Amino acid sequence: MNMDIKRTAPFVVIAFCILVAMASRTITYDPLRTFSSQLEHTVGVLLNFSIVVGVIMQLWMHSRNISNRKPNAWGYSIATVITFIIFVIFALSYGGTGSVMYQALYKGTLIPAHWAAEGFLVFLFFSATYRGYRARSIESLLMVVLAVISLIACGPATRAIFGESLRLNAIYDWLNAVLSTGVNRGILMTTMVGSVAFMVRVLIGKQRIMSE
Amino acid sequence: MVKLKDVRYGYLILLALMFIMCQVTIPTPIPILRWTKALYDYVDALPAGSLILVSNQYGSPGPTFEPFAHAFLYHCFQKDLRMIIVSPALIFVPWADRLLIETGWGGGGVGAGGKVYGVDYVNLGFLPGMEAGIATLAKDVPAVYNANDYYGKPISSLPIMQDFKSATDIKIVVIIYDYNPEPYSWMRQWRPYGVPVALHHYGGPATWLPYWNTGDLIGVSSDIDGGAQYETLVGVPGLASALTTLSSAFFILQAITIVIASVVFWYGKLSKKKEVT
Repeated sequence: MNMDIKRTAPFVVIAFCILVAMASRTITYDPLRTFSSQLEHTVGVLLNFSIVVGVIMQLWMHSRNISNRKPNAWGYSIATVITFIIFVIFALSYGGTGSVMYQALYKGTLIPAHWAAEGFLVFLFFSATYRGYRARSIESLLMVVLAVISLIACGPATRAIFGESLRLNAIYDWLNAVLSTGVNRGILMTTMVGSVAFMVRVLIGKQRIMSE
Repeated sequence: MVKLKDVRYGYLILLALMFIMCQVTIPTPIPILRWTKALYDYVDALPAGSLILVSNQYGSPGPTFEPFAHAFLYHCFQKDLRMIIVSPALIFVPWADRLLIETGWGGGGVGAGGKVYGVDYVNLGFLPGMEAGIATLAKDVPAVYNANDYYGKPISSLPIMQDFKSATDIKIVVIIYDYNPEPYSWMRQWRPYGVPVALHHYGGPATWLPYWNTGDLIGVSSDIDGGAQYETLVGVPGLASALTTLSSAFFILQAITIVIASVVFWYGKLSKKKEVT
């Protein structure tokens, strides 16, 4: 395939999909809406295919790690591949994901592992708090003061003790209703304006790749 | 002072604190926050038989999600609401089954309280396509679920599905959020149909309260604290209520840590300045 077509074709497809989606929401014309709906269903199916591609890519990467004996990685890759094979065998065998064996595997390995990983988050939060929240300047001092107020206002016990006496509840409400909402709206609006600008650039062919 | 900078001392204090707090029971009050109460009040006011949709996006048995999920499903059970569960996060699909069994609804059969599968509740399983899937579900349910449910039963044989054709049939969407798709997807795709969206999530509520302030979220419940509040509201104290002391201690420790970090930083900076002069 010609190199130009290879590079241009995806943008034509993207532009077509965007135009159809936009038109179906702005023009009241039933065939267009039906077509847009069918397009969305197709995207849903394609997204599921992307999972399959992702799995294949992962297996390929781990197989290469194992065959190349990649230092500090190939042991983990063996564990990953073996776990994958075991899960696939039980998921595809009789009873599928609802079978007793699969459920036992899911609840006995995946969930405890997930929970153990989450348990370490406490230490990560603690470390991040210690390293990240330092009053290095006036701006960061402001952030530190707000963080301390929020933490005291959020803790159930401290909220019960100081919530009314130090008017922390009122301060926390104000922080949320005014500062936080305002800042979040600002971020959201600028992000959306940026997204629209990005889409327009894609539509007119100015934006070739995501990283440009 | 240099040694105080080593974060491992902090880890040790944290570990000791967690251990002590798990062993010692200190009765701690659980003040109810307005955004959690708003969710409770809305669900409580729904007439019996109303259809609600639960988006199961978590899969861990710990106190962050489980107490809220249990208390919420218990509340729906008590109110005789009809429930539809979907799982947009692929990895956590089997979790919904466990949740239904543990809360007495029953996992695909008749539950402890006489709830009948297919009539009072349904577990539709994986909802594919992330936000595109959520958008399609809002518009046209049979387009997404037209074959079998999670247990392999034909969708057409489930009476509850006759009343669930699009978003307008649902009285509230409750997201138990640990994993993508993000709650924004539900808000973007379901709010235009006038369906209230509520959220239980990990971490502090600051990220989501702006959406509660604007009415895009009808209620917000956060982490262990949210679970404890919902347990208190439905009158069934459980794991989260028991861990309120621990979570309070962690909030206090974090606040102290922030102050210490700043003090240590400035002490080190001023000491260096003194040495130079």
